[in-house]
Amino acid sequence: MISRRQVADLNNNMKDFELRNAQLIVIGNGPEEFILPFREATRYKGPLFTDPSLKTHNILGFKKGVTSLIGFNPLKAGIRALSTGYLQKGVQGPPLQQGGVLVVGTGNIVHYLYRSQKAGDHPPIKEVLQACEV
Amino acid sequence: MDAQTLQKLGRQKVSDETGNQKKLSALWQDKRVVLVFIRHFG
Repeated sequence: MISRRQVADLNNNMKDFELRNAQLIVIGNGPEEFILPFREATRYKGPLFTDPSLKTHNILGFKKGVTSLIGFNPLKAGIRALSTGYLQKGVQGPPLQQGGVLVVGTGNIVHYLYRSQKAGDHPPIKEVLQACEV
Repeated sequence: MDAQTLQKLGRQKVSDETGNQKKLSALWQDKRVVLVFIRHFG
């Protein structure tokens, strides 16, 4: 439920990325057959890929483990998602895998990297937009 | 992140909904991209 809410939020920021000549791309880690239902649930129309092998997540050093799920915030984010109608319909991908955001461009230049520390932890959108400007 | 790690990352392949595979580095070859890695398709 947390990922859906996050992507629905990102839908609202799509234009801001386009204005900065940056393209938003979502990468999940579930099986390919879950991409379409995910699109329907989030109404996300941009590029969407998946890496069920989790190799990309591992290379980026994204967290994996139970400890990153412990804490009050995931619960709070879950309740927020619930109350706004983003219900999780079963787990479609490794539930203990954390995500993050990478802004990278031509010439293989990394402009920004954010590793989520726990479920529901996302970078401030302002930071990501700034990374598209420098 | 060092250049070597980014190179390694760029060599990884991701699939779209039709099962087509794409090298990750192809995504940022000619433009800046914001790659949002989500936890799962929940």
